[in-house]
Amino acid sequence: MRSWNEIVDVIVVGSGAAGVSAAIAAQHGGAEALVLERSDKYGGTSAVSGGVPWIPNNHHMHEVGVSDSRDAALTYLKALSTGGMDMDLAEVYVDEAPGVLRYIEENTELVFRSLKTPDYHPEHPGGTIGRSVSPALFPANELGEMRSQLRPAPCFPIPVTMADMDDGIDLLDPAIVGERLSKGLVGTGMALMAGLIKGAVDKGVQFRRNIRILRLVLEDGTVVGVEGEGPDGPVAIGARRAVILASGGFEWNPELVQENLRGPLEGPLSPPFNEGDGLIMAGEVGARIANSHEAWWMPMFKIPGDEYEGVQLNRLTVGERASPHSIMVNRKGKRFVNEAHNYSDVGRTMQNFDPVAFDHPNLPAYIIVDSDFMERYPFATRFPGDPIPAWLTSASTLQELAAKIEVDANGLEETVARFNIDAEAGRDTEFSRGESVYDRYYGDPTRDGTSKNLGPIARAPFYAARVYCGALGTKGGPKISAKAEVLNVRGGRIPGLYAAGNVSAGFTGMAYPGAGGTLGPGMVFGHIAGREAASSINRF
Amino acid sequence: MPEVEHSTQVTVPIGTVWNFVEDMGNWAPFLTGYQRHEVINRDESIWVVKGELGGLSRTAEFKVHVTEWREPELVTFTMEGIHEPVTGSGEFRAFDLSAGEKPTLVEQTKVPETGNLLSRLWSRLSRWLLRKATKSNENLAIQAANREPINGKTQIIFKLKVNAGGATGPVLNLLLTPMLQPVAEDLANKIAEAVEK
Repeated sequence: MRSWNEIVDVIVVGSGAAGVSAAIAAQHGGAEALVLERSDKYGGTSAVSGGVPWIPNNHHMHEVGVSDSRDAALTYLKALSTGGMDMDLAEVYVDEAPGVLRYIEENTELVFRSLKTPDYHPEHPGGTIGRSVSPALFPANELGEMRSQLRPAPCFPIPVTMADMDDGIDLLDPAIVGERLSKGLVGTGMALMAGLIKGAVDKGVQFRRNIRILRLVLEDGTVVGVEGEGPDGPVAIGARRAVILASGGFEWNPELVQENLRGPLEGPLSPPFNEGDGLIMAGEVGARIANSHEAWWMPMFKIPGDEYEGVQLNRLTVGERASPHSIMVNRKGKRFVNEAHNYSDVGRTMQNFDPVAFDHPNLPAYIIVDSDFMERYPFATRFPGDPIPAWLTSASTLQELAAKIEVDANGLEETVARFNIDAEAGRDTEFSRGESVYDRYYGDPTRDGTSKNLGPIARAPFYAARVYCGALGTKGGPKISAKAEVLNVRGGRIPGLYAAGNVSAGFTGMAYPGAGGTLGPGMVFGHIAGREAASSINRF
Repeated sequence: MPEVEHSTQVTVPIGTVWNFVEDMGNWAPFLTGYQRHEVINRDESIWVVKGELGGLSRTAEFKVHVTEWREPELVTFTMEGIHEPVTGSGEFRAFDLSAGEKPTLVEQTKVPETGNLLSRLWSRLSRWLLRKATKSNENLAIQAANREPINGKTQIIFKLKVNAGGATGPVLNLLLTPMLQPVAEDLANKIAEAVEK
């Protein structure tokens, strides 16, 4: 038998929500679980996220005045399938998710509540609100020494929750923010991960950081351990029962991005450690790889000077697309999408292909706003009344603005003229912006109907910012079974190997069902993986 | 407006301190987060500084205007963010201890003058953040600890006020002060070390 630095029952590679959920379930099931984190901070991509899992038919939905059912949730998922969704796993997900949420609440200090956030296609059959649940603020000091090892969320530097939006909390009120800070509370993804990690530590899960796992160790076709690099050199750790991959996507690996994704990715929004380690390792032991052309897309900004972990920070776009007095245009100055709709599908349209021109006409793209927008709404990091930042291009006419950003000037003027007529009439005749409940949720809350999202671009100066085709993470990797086992490309499973989260093939295919459509499946299939791994017999 | 002061003593005469401080290029790199600066004239310069908050590093440009050069004891300045709604001011003061001057020793963080509730919250938060900041800046804390009071010839005091404006200003100001304290300490201590070499 080979020699190991140490041996545990279950090894979890990655410390995001999928990994820690798996570790909690494994430890709860009687296994000794060890979480290995590549970077010096725990929490993975989940920690920098909004922290909201999408859990259909969850027990909190009555809080926002709705009910759900297995049938409604599956109807909704089927409506988004476009033939690419794994409906068997979708059924497993819908059946397991409510119980996993209850389990997490009962076995950690996390407390969730339903949000009024609509599903990302709320008008599709089965679409509703309340499936997205937000963790309450969490007292991260309870992590003790691990508090400083919790990954910070660069886009949420103050403790906020997505529920604050439902509650109308003024997050610029220093009394509110100050009180939260003084109590050591964290919000969004940091709250989710602080709560999960605390729950895991309380159950006895071990955590180790600065260890990058690079290879799975096979014996007679069974995964029996891992090899990698730690702070003191090579490490080899044996797993008596299983290895669970939860190491995130491959969005920071340029080669894998180029070879796999359906179109250009101009930058990820995740921490820069998701280089496809799990996908590579799984492929090496014969895993069946699926859905690797897909990602959780996000139109994003790059603000010069913003850095996270030593690399350019890529920022979300939300209100800039959804608020009145804004549009998104391509090189020809033409709109190409309902800008206010969900980020993943808006981002996908940035990759549209023109077969005649043989290029991607919507790259690069720009958000165009006028002075009414700038007076009323935040634009990335700039708030109304702040100086105009250098990264915004400004001009006194649309022609001049178009010239500065190298967009077809006549095209832009024609587009704005048509949009303004539609905005005044309250009906977007091109893309129906403002007609979905989803659009309006993110629009101007002080307005009604389509005017939440529509307003003319009329008052100079005008402003433009480049929008990039980004992604929260990729969603392709080893395909898993209903038990979260990694499947073999030749059929059957790879004994001893499980996967969950963005490292695995997302069962939703190209769809993003709602806020938390990545965290929810990650936590649920992580839980299943941990539970199943713990129920395995010891191989040595 | 968040305001911090830090004081330390050096064993060299006040004239030596002045000769060092008079040239910004001598001490500019000592400023935490310093990237570069461009001297426009004796009184005006542009500074590029990188700050960190919640894991996010952000580079910002400031226009610094020296409002008084009073050799050998005082330099005062104002600062203004070029693209950020941030203003501030500061001073570098030197006291000739050999002349028998008895400056007030300062090393404090001042609470901004706001409402009672806010002040209490700010005070609690400030203490908590200060502990956090000093823990996360262990090197700075060690440097500060290494500079025990001595019977020096000159006392130097660095004072800095920074005010974030705009809609996010009040919240940012909550976060700024405990971060400024190590900056002031670090700058004053490094200048002290440099002039004593």
